Amino acid sequence: MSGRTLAADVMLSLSLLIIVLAAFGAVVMRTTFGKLHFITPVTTVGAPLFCAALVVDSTWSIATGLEILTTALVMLSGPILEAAIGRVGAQQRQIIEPEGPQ
Amino acid sequence: MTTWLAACIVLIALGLFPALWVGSRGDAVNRLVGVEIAGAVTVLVLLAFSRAMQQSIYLIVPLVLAVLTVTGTLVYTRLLGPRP
Repeated sequence: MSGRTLAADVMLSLSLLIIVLAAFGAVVMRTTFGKLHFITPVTTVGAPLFCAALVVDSTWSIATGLEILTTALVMLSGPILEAAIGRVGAQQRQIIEPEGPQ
Repeated sequence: MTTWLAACIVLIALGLFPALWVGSRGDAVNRLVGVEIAGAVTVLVLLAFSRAMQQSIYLIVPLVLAVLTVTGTLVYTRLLGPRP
């Protein structure tokens, strides 16, 4: 087993562990806002590690660029969607004003 | 079985199903959290599947799904928000 393959396997295993723990964490948490926190580990830690494993495991090509682009989209959209969902949840529970800051 | 196919199976069994479970319980916002996690996990499943099959043409599917997950979730948050 070469060094690159070993590094890819380690990063892949780590990303799978983080994603699985986050998914089960979302199941275990009772409140919606508690569940909301488990989106971040998947999108911001698990997905980039997964992409890094894909990149390390292969040579550079247009397909690698497409994989990086796709993962970057997931990584960047995660916090935005988390904030949007949290805002709607807070509006429905009347924690913030319905016409709060946009 | 390749490493990437095994990663696919692990993600579907231990990542996607719990997310779908969250997405089928509770109120609308709670379900939206599950849909968001399921979307992110599905993108990674499709990336791994493309690598496992060694078909780079399959990469267009996770790319489109990543874009649609963002827009879809934002539309849901807009619809679930207060009416003017």
